Amino acid sequence: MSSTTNHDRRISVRTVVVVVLGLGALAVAGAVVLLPRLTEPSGAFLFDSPAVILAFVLAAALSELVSVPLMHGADKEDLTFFEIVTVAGLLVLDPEWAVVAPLVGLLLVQLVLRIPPVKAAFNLGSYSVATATSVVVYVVLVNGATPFSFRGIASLVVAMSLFTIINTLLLSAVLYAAEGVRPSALVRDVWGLSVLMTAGSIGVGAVGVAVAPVSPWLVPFTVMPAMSLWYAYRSSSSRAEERERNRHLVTLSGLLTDERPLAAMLDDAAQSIRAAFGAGRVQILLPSDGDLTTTFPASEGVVPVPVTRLPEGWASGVSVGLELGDGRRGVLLLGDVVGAKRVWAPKQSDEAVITTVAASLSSAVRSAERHAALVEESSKLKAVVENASDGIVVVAAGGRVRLWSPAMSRITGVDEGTASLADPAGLPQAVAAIVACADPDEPVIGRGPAESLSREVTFVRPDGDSRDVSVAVVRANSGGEPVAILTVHDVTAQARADRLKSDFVATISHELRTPITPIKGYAQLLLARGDAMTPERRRAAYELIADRADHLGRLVEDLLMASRASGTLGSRLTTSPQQHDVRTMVTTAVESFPSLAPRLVVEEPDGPLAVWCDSARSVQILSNLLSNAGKYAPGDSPIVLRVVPTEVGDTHVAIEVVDQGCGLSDTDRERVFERFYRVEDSMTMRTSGSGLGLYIARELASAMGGSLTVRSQPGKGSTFTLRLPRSEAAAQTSTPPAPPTAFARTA
Amino acid sequence: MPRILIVDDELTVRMLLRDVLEIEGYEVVEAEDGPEALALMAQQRPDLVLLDIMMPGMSGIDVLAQVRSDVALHDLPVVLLTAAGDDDTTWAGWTTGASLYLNKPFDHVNLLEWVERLLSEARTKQAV
Repeated sequence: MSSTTNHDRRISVRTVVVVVLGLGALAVAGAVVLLPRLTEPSGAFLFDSPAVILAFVLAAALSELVSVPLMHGADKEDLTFFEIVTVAGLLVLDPEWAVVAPLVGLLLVQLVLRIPPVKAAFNLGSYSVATATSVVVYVVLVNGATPFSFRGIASLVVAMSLFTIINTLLLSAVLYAAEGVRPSALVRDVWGLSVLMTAGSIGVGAVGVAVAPVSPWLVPFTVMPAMSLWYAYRSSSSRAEERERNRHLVTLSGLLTDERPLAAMLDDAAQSIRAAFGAGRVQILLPSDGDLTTTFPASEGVVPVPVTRLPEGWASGVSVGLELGDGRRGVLLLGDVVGAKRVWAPKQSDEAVITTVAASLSSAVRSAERHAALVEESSKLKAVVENASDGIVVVAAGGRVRLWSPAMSRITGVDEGTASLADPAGLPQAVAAIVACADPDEPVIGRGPAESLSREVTFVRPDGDSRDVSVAVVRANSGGEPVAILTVHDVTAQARADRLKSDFVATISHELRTPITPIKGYAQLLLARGDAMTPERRRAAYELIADRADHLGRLVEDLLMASRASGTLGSRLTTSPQQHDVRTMVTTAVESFPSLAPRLVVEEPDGPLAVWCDSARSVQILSNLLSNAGKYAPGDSPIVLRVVPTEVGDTHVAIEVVDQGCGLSDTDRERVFERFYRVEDSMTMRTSGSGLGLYIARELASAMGGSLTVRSQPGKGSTFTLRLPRSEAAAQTSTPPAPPTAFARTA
Repeated sequence: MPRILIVDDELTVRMLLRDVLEIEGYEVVEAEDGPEALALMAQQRPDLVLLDIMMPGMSGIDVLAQVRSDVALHDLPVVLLTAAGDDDTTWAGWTTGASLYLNKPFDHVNLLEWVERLLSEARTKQAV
């Protein structure tokens, strides 16, 4: 028996082969030395004439040429009639020649067939060991008896059994090294056939030899048992092959029906197809691998492919088309590589099976592609639901939540687990309020099932925050059951802004109507009863009308500016910053309050101090601060306007207005910059002031890159600090503190 | 002469109302806020009250509620005179028992007519 393998794993195989070859050489040498000392079997059959020896050599060579392949898993074994020749040699030749002649024949045939050196070496070595050993054993056991006596035949049986066993063992050693095939598995596989072969070889060989002297013309007919033996080998081996192939095809069909990623499935399928049909290479090409229509034109069935169109390294190949749907085609290629001993081609009987396999493969690829598309689609949808900034809720019949997107958890503070609880009574208010929108009994505005209804819902989160959302409801059918799909948009900020706006509007309307009342009232009074009024009364009336009209005018200006500041009119406060000297602005502000002059103490630097600001706006702020100080600080207490000395690296200049009035409570201090907030002071009369002055002043300060802050203590007075930015260059200098001037600078 | 109590936190409004009413010969007393008004009413019952709603602390509605629950004052004519014109406040005013609800700025003639009418109705009731 000789063996070939489809894989090249030379490393440990080499070692085994070398060992076997060595053993073989030893065995032959030993036999040649030993045999002459032993008693030869008796009988007239022993020849050592050159012709006979040569005949045996040729016979051995020929026996190797007629072979039947037998598959061991992925390996192939070739069964030959070498054993028959060995048996005949044992019976006919001088024992030394019985060892050497068959081996010479074997060597010759390995050279003629150009068997790769490793395989040849193994075969030679293995057969050398087996032949030498069995010949020696035979001679020893026969011990001079005639070959056809009972002893003779018994010794023959033992010797040939040993021959088979040795070959099997050495084969299993090399298969183990090459494939990791366990010796026990191999033995189990081959023992039946081996027994058959041993018996058969003995039968054919011995009978042939026995018949030859009686009637040489009968010898050819002894071929008949050999033929039946040969057919037995062949059908056994083709059955074994068939079994192997079916095993691979079953594996393949398992692979094709599995739900696996396409690439992995194709790899495993290619392997199984290769093993099933014994091809050297298998490749599955899909449209994504390039344009196949030119290289592999469409055709029916299994078609040979010219070498030029085959992939690199292939020596031969056939192709089968794969129908992948939508007019797309793939190709299944089976072939062999350059350097293979025997070029693989599909057997006639295999072609139908290959075509069927191609059809199954096509349908498997189609399903895998569909599956991949579905997965991608579904993960796209999942990504949309997961990442949408609006919440998405799916509510089934009975108010049961089927889907609660991550955005919903963010908006409501309730996670999916809690929201999906079966018991509606256990749901947090946030969830219940939203889910209620899905109630099919709620009237739907619009026609048809696709029309959506939008509702405003307010709820309280588990952490206590209240939120407003707008919920749009669409009804749909999911897997036969009616569901409601809710899209939830957080409008809390908007709602809050709307509420603030309506509060603002309510306050403004009150503020505007109040001064109009005396204007209109006195105008009407003067018209109706002017002549009944004293001149003083009339004068007072005119003055009040003028004063209130003034106030109303200022109020309107302030409101416009406040609106601009809050962006409701669409434009922000515009400022035109330039470099200005702080002292100039201080002077201007002070000059607009001549009545305060006696109380005013101004502290400012001797030299110019540059700030980057809008001078008119800054003066407006300072004026507001001075005016407040005048209103809220009693009588003659001093009001200090101080420019705080700057250090190197100060980014801003601070201007303080300090009064010694009643000060601000904590609440007042927090709210004093709010729109319309007026500090309640029982001592002053709340007549003028829109409540917008400080709000506007702070917005202006911010718009110029500065700030307006207050420090105050009830009963101790207040300090308002305006900070204005310095220019880059100016920030590098510092100003020395100036001595406070006891008197205000006069105009 | 009928005595009218004016309740408003705005000085200019009080001045106007005083001038308007005194020229017609009415006697006018002023209060700046709710508590002061109630105190004055307790001291001496006025014949009519002109009551602002938006005042710091106690609102006009609260004052009205107090007046209506006071046995001595409950049928006192009270005119709500306010710059707040929203529906909720109007509703609150009517349901708390205002005799009349007027918006600011008011019409001079209209106000005087109503004051006259309310006073004569009250006189008639008292006479009965």
